[in-house]
Amino acid sequence: MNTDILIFGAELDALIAALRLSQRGHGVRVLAAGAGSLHYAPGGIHMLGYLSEGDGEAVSSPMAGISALDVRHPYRLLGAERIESALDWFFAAAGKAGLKFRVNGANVTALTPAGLGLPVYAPTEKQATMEDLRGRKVAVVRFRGHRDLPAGIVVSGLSRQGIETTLVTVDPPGPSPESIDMARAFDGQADFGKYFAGIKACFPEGTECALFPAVLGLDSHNRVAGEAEAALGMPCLEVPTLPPSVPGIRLYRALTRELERNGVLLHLGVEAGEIIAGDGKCTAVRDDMGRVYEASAFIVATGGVLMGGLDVDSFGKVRETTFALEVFQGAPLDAQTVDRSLAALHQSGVECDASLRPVAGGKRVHDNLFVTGRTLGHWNPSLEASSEGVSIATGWAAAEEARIYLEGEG
Amino acid sequence: MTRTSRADGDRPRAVVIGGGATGCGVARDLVLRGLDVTLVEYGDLGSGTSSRFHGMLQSGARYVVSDTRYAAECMEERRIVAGLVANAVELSGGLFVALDEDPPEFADRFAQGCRSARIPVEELDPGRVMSDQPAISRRVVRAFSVPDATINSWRLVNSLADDIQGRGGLVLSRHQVTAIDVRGGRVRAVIVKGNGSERRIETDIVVNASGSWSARVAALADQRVDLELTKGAIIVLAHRLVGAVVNRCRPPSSHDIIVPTGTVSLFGTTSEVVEDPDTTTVGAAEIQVLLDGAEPLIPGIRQYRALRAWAGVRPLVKPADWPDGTPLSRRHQVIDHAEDGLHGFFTVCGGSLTTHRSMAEDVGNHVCRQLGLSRPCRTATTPLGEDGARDHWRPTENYQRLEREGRFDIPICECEAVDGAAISELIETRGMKRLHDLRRRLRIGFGPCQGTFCGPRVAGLLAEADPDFRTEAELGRFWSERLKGMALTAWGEQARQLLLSDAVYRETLGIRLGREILPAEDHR
Repeated sequence: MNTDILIFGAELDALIAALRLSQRGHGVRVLAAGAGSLHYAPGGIHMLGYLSEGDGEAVSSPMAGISALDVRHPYRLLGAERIESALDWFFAAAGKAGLKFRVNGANVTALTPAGLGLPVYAPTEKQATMEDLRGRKVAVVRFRGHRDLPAGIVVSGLSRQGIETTLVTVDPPGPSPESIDMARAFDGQADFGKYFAGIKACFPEGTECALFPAVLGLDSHNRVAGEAEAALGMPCLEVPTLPPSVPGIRLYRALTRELERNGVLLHLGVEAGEIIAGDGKCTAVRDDMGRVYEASAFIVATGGVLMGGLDVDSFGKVRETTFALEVFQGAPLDAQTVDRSLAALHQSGVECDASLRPVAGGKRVHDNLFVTGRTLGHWNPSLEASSEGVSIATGWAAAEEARIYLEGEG
Repeated sequence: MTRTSRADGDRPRAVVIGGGATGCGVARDLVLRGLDVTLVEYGDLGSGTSSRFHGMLQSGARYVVSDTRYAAECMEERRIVAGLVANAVELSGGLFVALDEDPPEFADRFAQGCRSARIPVEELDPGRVMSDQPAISRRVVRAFSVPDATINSWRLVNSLADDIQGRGGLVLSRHQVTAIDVRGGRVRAVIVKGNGSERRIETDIVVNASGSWSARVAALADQRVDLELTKGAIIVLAHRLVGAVVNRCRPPSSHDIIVPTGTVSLFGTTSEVVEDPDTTTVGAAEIQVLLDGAEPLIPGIRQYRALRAWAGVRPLVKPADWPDGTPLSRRHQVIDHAEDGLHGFFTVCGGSLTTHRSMAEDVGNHVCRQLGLSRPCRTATTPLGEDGARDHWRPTENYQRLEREGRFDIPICECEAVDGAAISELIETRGMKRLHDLRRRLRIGFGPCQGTFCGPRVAGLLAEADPDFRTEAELGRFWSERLKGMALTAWGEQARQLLLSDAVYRETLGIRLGREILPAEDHR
């Protein structure tokens, strides 16, 4: 079983690298143990929101903020030019896949399901931001029995911001009030105009904006949101829910549909068993069922500790699970300084050079192996609010490096 | 003996300081003896040492060799308490297992000790025990069963508090005693602060039942109490790994007991002398000591999923006749400060949750003697009222109830099977405003996800009931406290869980993690 490129993981960075390489005509195979952390993601593209813990100021321009990061941070390894190229390419590719983002070159403040603000570089087209809501009379729609939007704290959060907000409880669009089921129910009906008109009847006089949990359709989100706006006669915005998160899943599904169209082979439920390497190069991987996959280049996009790409043992030692790559190890965990402990866990990861090739003792391990996303060390997606930005930038850059390598070998 | 100077016919007044098992037990004892009682607790009821131990209602077998008298007291109290608050007690039974590495002569002394303390003991076939308990060592050479049990301490203290209030007593939780007025060699009043105001409670009697904090409270009345404070750390493991409490059958020591409780198992403990009763954080080195100590009894413990770790501080008393160098007794002591010139002030310390009732009886006897009253203790024979609130804490009970009521809502907390109606009812009937208080009642945040999903869901319900709910402070606080325990056991699957929790709270909810370390009060 031979392809040009073998990618491990179904993270955003894995899908980005696969899409980029398949667009360039390379044969790509993706092996992943599970479906990846996009299923938890709120859906917008977070690039860089904060530089420090606690009450630190939010970053307004992510591109300007990057220079303040540690020199070993993935953004610093890549540099502004590659990051910008990656984002430009991503937004174009996403648009082609039917995903609409709002990009203005600076952060806006996304509304979170806790009623708080979170800096986001590119919210989805219908994702509510504080800027959208300010000065408007808002109705928060809660579906009866839906657990995963704590509507009470959304309302109190908006009210504290001086935004006039009412909570309206309505019946869910189908029998189940779970986020993903409701999104599918919206997809499945040809015309929800009457349903939305029924919701409008519950709104107080003068409502100017409807705020829904982010369940307005899974694969037909643009159509469902359009129908809602037409029936209600006002902007219909979404606030993300607790996981599973429909906007993240929309992104996952749109990207994997593109991959299928490009002939990428996506195998879920596969774990790497053994690496076959020699002469400074990897040649193949044997999976946990004994199947051997040969490839000319390999990308490790396994999602770090969160997704099992890195493993921590009871002594606090961190291991890279696919290739046993050398790992930068953060400080051990300690209850007295939870924030620093969490930071240490995030900072742990594979040490790479600017081409995203892992290094050990200052030297490259393999010429044809690249690492991306959360499996890289020296960054902290939760503190920085930078998860999608780093995934896109490193996924794109690894694809570029792999392409250059293959052409050189070619 | 001194009579208090109060008008005849008035009920003597007593203030009990401390809302753990001891304080609640004392307050109930005094209410049943006809006193006018006010209980004052600094935090939430049962949020101190009463909830930071291994959760056992002891048969006393653990102490039969070192202190037969105390062991016998435990057995007696274990019977009484299990009958009084049956809904808080799980009669899981206990096993004492001697491994091939343990001193061989101890097992016979243990069995003899149990018989002296009148603790029902039965020697079991080690092979049978190893096949019944697959998680424990294959090197068991002797095994005994004893009637150990476990107890939900919050359920105990809440039931006691409800009973106290049902009988006319007053319970003030989240109130701090700021001063004790002691003019003329007698206590006069206690000054308490709570709900943003300060008030003076005139009283004849003050009972200091504040456990590890006793020395601090006594100092408010210029009295001295000497305690030995020892910190004990515990690791919480996912699942019930054993079907009964399993003890090492060897001289009592650190890390030799695993207790199945609720949906988890607790392994402990350590013992380290500390100065400060608020020392409840556990260090990374202590975790390694616990894991190494657990390995002989639970082989492969490092591969199990551990949810968190925490510690409590035991207030032990050292009796004058206690030989040096032996483990300190768990016996309690009642100090009548009249001997130091202060009438009406008593301190009770030492003891354990299992013996909280007999400790309270002892206090009640001292108090009545000083007041010149002859009223017998009634706590062992008066049933507790049924706890009215639906603070169910066994997932199986929750499912049974939902089935009975024909409701099939998806639970708000999947780990502990808590549904929205149970939460809303507590918010409405008890006026609960804090996630931590709901947690102690309902066990939300206790399961493998450690509040990742139920935390924000419950915050949503709280915010609907209370317009002043401060999301960032309240939810942030709740999460930081969960993190403090989780960070210690973040290996294997739980490390992934920790980062999922981090992703949900910070990347989805937008909670920021401050540098400030929160009050120890809510640690467990």
